[in-house]
Amino acid sequence: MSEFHYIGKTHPRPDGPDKATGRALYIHDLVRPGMLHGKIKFSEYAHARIKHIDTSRAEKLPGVRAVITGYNTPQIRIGFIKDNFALKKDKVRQFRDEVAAVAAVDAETAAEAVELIEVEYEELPCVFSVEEALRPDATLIHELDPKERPRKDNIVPVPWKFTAGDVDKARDASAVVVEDYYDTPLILQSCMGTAGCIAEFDLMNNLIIHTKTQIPFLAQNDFNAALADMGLQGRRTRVIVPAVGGSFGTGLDTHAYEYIAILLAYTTGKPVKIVFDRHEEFTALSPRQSTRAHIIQGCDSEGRLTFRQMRMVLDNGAYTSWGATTPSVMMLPVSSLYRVPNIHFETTIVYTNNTYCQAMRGYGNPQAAWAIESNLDQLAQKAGIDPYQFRMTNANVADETTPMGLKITTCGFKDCLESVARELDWGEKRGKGRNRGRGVGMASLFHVGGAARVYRSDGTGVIMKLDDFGHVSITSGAVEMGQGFTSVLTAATAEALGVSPDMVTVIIGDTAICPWDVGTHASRGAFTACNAAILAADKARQKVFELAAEHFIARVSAAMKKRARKEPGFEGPDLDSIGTLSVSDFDLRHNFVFLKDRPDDPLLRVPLEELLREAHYREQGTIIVTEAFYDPCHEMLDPKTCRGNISAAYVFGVQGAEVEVDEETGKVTVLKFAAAHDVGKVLNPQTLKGQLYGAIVQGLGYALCEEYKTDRGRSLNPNFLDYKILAAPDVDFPIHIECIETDDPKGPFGAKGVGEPGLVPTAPAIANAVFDAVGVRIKSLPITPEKVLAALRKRKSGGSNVG
Amino acid sequence: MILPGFEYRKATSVADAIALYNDFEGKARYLAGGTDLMPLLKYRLAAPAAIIDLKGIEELKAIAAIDGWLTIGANVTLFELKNHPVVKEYFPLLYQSLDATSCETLQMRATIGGNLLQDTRCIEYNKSLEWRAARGFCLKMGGKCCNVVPHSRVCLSNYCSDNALSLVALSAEADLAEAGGEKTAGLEKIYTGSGSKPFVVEPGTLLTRIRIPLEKSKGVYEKLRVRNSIDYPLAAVAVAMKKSVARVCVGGVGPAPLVYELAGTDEGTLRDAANSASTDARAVPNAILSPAYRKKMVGVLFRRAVQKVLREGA
Repeated sequence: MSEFHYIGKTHPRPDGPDKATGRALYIHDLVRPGMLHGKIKFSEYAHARIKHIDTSRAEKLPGVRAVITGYNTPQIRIGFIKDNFALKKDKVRQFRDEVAAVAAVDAETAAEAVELIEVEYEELPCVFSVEEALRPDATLIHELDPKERPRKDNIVPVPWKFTAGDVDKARDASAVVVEDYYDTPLILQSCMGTAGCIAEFDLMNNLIIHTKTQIPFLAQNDFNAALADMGLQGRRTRVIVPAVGGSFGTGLDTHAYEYIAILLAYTTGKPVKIVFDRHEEFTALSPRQSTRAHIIQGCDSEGRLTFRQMRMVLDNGAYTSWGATTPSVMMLPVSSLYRVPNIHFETTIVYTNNTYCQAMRGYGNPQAAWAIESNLDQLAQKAGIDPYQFRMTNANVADETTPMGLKITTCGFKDCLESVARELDWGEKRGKGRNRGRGVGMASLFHVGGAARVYRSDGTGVIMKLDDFGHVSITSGAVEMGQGFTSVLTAATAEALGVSPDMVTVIIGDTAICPWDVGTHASRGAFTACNAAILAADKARQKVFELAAEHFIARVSAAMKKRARKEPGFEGPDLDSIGTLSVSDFDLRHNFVFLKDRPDDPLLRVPLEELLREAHYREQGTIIVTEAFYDPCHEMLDPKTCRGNISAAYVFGVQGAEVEVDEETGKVTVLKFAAAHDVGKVLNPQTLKGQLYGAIVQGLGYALCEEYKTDRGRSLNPNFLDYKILAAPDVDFPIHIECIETDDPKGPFGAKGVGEPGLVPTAPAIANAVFDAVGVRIKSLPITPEKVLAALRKRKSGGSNVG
Repeated sequence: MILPGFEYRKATSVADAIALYNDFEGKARYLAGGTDLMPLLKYRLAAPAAIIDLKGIEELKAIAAIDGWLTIGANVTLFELKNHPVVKEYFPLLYQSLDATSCETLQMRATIGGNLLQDTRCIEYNKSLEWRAARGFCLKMGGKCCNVVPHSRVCLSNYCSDNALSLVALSAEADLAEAGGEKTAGLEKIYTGSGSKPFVVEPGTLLTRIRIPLEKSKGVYEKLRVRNSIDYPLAAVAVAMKKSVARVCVGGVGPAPLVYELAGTDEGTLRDAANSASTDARAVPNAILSPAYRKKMVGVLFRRAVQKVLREGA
């Protein structure tokens, strides 16, 4: 397909009007008959033994229907390595640990009842930093592993290690070597729609759970396992996903609150709703991990990268989530951003008494990019090479396999670099604004763009249904969480099938109806579902053309006769000369079936709906329903070598900024921001730019002001006043976005995934610009005025802070 | 978060409001815009038996320029005040601080009276009940010690009204109504200097009007915050210049604004004044930025604000 009718054009989002006017039903809006309200009692200590839980006063409160604890309910193991329980028994390991829960007739009563639960604790020594946790004599956060065997240390048993070439040898041979440490803070996904669910059982003890998730089918598995733990073997779970107000990775795991709602619903026999308020969203959901990266990179005298070594330490918090697998994505840029022959990467993931962490948009890539791209500027500077030229020298190219075994198909990296350099007026501005505290900087990214095989299946199914008014329903197991999924699937279906987008309805969000999908993550939603839609549309077109072969001439002839009756003297084309038509003679566009070789004859076409009715309303009639299951052609990582082509395509991008630094206050002001992303093909310019604008602002928050602060494991800023996400008025500078279209052969219509990349290189781009502006390098995020001022002072007093 | 239960009464006059307050034996809170009170209620930092709504008191909604004063009713919203022609013409400083207050949506709701009498803030105080209960109650919650500065006997929570600083710099006065009648005080006199009980006014007292001497002035408001879009001040300086006298008010750090009259505006005097303001600022680790940084910024903003006024005043 070379010319598209709907792809690449702006279409309004189908879910837009309902969301904008408040009609869409989020979990907060849903009410079920007889529904009770659940509330969780959280720990008051970061690490303590539970001595006793007294629920008697709560139970006596009028309106309370159930009070549950780990002692009066079945134990449900959760977490990536099953190191967590829905309700804690014996011990709490973080402030947010769930020790009890209440179901009551209304939210007020539930809240009051929770306050009446008295828990007696015996405090234990705590560890709040990875350094403390790694000491040989450190208090063990988990005395036993999930298989009840004694543990010896606080290291999460999910090691990641990748080696290619010989780093030591390469280091010795390098002309220039730089080494440094880079830190990132905890940050929160900051969904506008807080987390929540409603659990209920039917009379056969099958579970129906309305819940905010990105993984309806993996969640279904998790909940089925929980039903088995509850003695309900063989009972089924149906997961229904309401409108989602942003997820950003929070929906990649199932959460204790969901299991607690299930336990409460089962105990009371009523639907039970648990919805987090903003305070709970801050304190009882999992942020993005804080990390410390030790990085060493080298290059030869021409500026060609020779090796890269990175050791990353992650503060995991008290329990595991899928976040423990983020190093597999950190490994992507470490091994494959630029052409680097020798690589060493390893991680240590550490249990602490901090809140346990989860994946967030970018899945480890932002932490890795922060270290690589900041350090790359240091290397370029030491080598005396302009950082833009340095990047051009080392940029990846198409049709190349990286040391990790990633097969780069299309690659618009150099175009992205050129675009950002051009937008920032790089040649004129780089290195020339220091007397005014102004500077420009850039940073690059590499990410999966053709889904990612992190689970045994990376597949997604769709069902396509054509009704006899010519409407098309496409049912998908993916999740719309605000990213614009329904808008691109609508356009893709319309394009692939040959109908107009207004004829297409996207159905999502119910595991009982929708075909399986591994989850809406890894920037894979559009890539996989649109590919599946193309497959299903091909099948549907085949069936439409079979109908056409049977009915086309008859319908055209009937139409012409009708017209001839109204318009005496009307003469249509000679149908007899057309001869017998076969399936391959037809095409379908804009809701009309027509002859491929006579596309412009207005008389030789039949509305799709007419053909569908003709097939439907007769004896032994038929309708058209097709399905497709698309599983990209890529590989799981080999767990021993960490090699494997985990995605069908890869994306590149470059972001840059011009900043001004106030040397008296240390405040960094962004004057201009430029982004260029290799997106394969733009499916819907409006939603794509929306995703990128949003990601860039989220990335700027990471760069400049977002930090989930804790004091001995306790959240210090669990509200949007003290936790600083940028608001619209803060973005008072132009953001220029250029989409580089590389037309990937694996992508639907050439498109690659772009959901996450927009925030990956933002922070190092700002840090590199700050360095250009005032000559200090900030190595820990966020780049606060305070850190900039301290670095400036250090530089003035002669301290070394050479980038 | 859920509001606690309370009785709701709507007052129709100042006398009516005070009478209602007494009816509930002081276990009541006045409600104007609610932008300060509602979060306090949700966090259970206030648990009144009754809320007395002042929004229906028409006499407090007026702005009048008469007899050499601009008189502003306490119910006037920040947005309305910001857009009043006299404010723009006579008191650019007040315009700037109003414009720097929160965001426009909240400016349309918040009143000047409520803005001035807002409670002081602390990172350990403005938290949910569960959070505070687990941490232990501090001085401002009736506990025995400060959670920010152990052993401190005085609460240094921050008074975060932007507009108090401008109004103090502009020598504004406050009309206060009590059961016994009305009195007037210089605005800077209403602060106790203790965050536990930031205002000297007796319980039940109603701030009815703010009055500013109607003389044209130059002014600059400099505010330290993380985001320009919405944040409370982490330190702020207001400078009002009438004839050649600069009156400077520093706030956002500690429970009460501090006022400085500048004897001269030469560089040395200014530097010394800025340094002493920085020294005076009682910054403790009770906000999102470090005390050392906030203290330092008081000096920087002080100097910048005055220099800017001098430039613009030329």
